[in-house]
Amino acid sequence: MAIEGKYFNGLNSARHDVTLSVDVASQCLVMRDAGGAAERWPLAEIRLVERPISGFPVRYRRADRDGPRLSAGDDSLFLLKPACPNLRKTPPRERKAARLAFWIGAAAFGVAGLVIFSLPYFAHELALVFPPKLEQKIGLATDQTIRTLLGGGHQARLCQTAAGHDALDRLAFRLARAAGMENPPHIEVVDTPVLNALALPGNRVLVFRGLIDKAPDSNALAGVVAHEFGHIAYRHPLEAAIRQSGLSLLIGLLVGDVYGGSVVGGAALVLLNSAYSREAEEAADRAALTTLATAGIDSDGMAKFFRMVAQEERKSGGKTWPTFTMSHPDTGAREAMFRQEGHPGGLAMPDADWRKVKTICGVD
Amino acid sequence: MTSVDAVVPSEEKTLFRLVFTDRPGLFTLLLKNMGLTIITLGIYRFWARTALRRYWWSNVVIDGDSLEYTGTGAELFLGFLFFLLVVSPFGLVWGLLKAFAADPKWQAVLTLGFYVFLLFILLPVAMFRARRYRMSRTRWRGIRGGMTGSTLRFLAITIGGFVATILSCGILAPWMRIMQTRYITNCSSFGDQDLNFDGKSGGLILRWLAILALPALLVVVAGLMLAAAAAKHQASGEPVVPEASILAIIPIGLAVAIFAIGLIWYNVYEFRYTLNHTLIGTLRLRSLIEPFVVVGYVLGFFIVGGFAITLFLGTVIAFVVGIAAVFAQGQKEAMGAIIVVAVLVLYLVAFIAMSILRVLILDKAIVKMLVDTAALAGPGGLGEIRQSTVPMPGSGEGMADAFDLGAF
Repeated sequence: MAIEGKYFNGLNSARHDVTLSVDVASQCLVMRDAGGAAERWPLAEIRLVERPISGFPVRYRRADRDGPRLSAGDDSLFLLKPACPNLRKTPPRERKAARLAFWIGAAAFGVAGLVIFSLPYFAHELALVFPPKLEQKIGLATDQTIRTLLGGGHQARLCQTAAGHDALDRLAFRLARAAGMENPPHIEVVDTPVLNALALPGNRVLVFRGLIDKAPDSNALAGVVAHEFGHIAYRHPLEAAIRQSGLSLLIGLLVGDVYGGSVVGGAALVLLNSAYSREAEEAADRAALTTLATAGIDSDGMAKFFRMVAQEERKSGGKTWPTFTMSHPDTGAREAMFRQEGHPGGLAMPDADWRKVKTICGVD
Repeated sequence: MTSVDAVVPSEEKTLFRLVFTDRPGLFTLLLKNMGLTIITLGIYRFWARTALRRYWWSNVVIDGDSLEYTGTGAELFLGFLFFLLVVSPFGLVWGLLKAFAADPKWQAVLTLGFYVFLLFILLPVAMFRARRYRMSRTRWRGIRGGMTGSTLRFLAITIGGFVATILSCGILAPWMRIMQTRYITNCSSFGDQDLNFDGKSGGLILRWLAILALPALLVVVAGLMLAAAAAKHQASGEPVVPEASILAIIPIGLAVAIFAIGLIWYNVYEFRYTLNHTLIGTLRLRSLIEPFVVVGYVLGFFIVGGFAITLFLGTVIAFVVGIAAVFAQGQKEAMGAIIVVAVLVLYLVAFIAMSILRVLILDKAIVKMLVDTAALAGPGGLGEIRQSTVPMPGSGEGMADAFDLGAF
């Protein structure tokens, strides 16, 4: 029994009823209509239009998508499956594939370039000319976001005992003058056991109560504060905020969140994790060393603090919240640096002041 | 169901019914799509959508031959990359502006501006281009569709229609949709046959008003209830009774429910109207779809499906709580953690199951009905359509993908 099919020539919708046969000599499928006219397809060029399902018509085409079509009963598979080697092969669309590859490559390259080169450069340049008023606002917004993140729903409390704040302001003034900064940054103490401190855009430094609780003496606190002042002098926080906002936005675009809702939250998170580069950290450390030396504060406090923090970390086995050492790797090397390159000196503040700072959150 | 033949006037010599053939394999296709989309973090979605479209297209049979979808996942992906390249600079600038406009007032203005941009510019452009792509990738007997026309012109029509709709408090929405349909249809062709749309929006606006009327009335009732409560409070000096405000929720909820149902009804009605006023060359499309039947399908699916999912989740959660109680041995924190994780996993499973079942049961039933109640009628046959000469777009619907336009 002959296998029958319907042939469409791709030029018009006229239907040609044909009988199918394979001509082994020329390696062609021959489709012959009632009048005897025959259409021939090379066997190697024949493709399936879709996965055949038994009981449904099977459709064939040539490698070219635009060309003619053959529709036949599923019995045609008995004839064509053994004869056609490329039935399931995707047609050769090298040009299309090459173009696709080019665009994917260009897009990937563009995104990578944006993230690795343009974004940091853009952030750096923008940070230099950024309007101070706007920076203040960003700092305030970041401050609030961070305190909300730390507070777990409601904002973590600021410690505002007047005597403690006076002592901190005196320290800030002294360090800022030593660092050659025009305006002493505004230091705030957040009531949270987290052992950390961070610099925010808008001339702000957040010190967490955990750091004050654990600091062996006022010199350690002065060292940390001087380090954060270093970041501020180099405008690292603003740079990071700009960089992170751009990055969040890019990621948002890639995964489909075109509204960029997570931009500010992302910037706050990255500041909380202090994801500065190694160079930025080293610059801040060097600035801290110089500042401490100029102010005449003993840098050994910072070294002691590093050792203490490292031990603390080991004991607790790395708890959930990021701490000073977790976000600033290589504590040993930094301890050594402060030991070797530091200068001896006096206390950062009188003992009476240090006691006031220790109780700034109201409880001892 | 009424017979298609009943609505064909006697001078229309030929009638070709559309048939939905129900090829097996949809469930495995959906499972594969879902699995690969999850594994590839969403990148597979372009290929998934293509596979699903190929399924729908190949099930629509006209005069013994089914449609063929020739689009590829790579084309959709390419379109998406195009979209990223075009839109990301805008998005970047906007995002930076928004992130640094710490003033909430400015943030609100910027957000509004962005939505206006999305709604008025990008969305219509995406709609138009997606339609053009799909037309060019649809074949029947080797002949393909095509679409010409200018995106800017369509944008102008849409913006004009939108302004009219807003000025008329939504009443002229059907007018806007018919304008869009007319432009798109008149730009379309199949092979060498032009498509034509000869519908008008008058009848549609009347039905649209009927759908708006009852919800609007209910909203007024709610307003009156609130006003009455406030007046009583003023007269007596008593504090506003919360019951009065709570009672006002009933008509508002009712209004939302009625409007949602009305919207489904209207969309199907408009679809039928659009088909019945579309000509392909000399052949007219016909549809006998009953909008209320589709409403019944949708409601039935969500009521039964929602009930089944709630029952399933309730049972499993009760089971998990029991197991958690045994394993946690009285430790409250551990028990809480187990329950939270279990509920999250269950939610995900329910979400995935529901989205697969929706296509498998609801979408398929609706598509089948839409196809089986449609026909081509008129003088002349289907044998003389020549191949299209309209150029084909190279890549597909990038923006439409980003906005998730078009279920098919």
